Amino acid sequence: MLNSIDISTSGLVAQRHRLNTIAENLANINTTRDENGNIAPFQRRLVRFQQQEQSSQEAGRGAGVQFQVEVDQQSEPRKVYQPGHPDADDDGYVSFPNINVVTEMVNAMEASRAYEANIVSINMTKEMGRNSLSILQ
Amino acid sequence: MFNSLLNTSTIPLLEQMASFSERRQEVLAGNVANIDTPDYKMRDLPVADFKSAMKAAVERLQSSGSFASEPTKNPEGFYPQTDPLGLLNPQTPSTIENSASVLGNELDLSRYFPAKLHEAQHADPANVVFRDGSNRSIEHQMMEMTKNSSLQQFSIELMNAQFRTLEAVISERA
Repeated sequence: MLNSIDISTSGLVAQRHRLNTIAENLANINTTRDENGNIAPFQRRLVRFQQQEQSSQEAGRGAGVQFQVEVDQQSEPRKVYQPGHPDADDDGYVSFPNINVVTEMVNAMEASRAYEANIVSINMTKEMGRNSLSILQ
Repeated sequence: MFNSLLNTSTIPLLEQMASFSERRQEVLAGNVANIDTPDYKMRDLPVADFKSAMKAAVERLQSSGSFASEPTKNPEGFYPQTDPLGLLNPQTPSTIENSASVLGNELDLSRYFPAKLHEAQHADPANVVFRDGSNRSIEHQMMEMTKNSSLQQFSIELMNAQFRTLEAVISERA
């Protein structure tokens, strides 16, 4: 019973971190410098989900989820012609992070729905626990 | 005496049902938590096996009226996983056998409900398999979870009703 709530909580934590990451991406959509002030466009972050490892006596039971925040190294920066920009290169192009607002918003919606699904799952588990306790009454 | 009183009712079976659905809730919660995990295969407990085990146990209860004495195997062919008290061994001293049958239904019921009924397996790939190898379907999971929790509530309510009947008899008033 408590194990079910732990599993759902792992899902909640993972989805909340995904939302945090999306918020980070959106906030840095125009960031052209890194934290040290060097000219380097912000690189998109993404969350990788993975099934939680299970010990041998836990095999055959429900599994939680674990996550890892990764940096998208592959997508090329978005080049915008802005010759007057202080971070423009010699040809007058500024490298902006390759973040697509629509992609991020769709991911945010999916994450928040998945978060809700885990909440519903916790509520159902609680309901079942309440049912079991009603035997004592 | 109290054990035989409880054994003749369906309370042991309802208990099996409740514990099965609580274990299943855990597996379904794991599926929901992993809804966005690439390559995750949805899991479930063997519900069909549990149903046939329950059917066999109910038939046994209806034919004999109690779980107190048992055949060596049931029609489904389930055997107990372990035999710690040597109940199946004919050389076992009769005292142990007697004390075990007085102990109640746990040992006998494990013949109908082996531990493998509580082990999750990969669910049937009835849904679309996505390109990341996952066959997630939040609708199926939520529906199964709702059914499962209703089943648990149902068995607990029935148990409660039986306990209330018992209390009414003990206190000699309805």
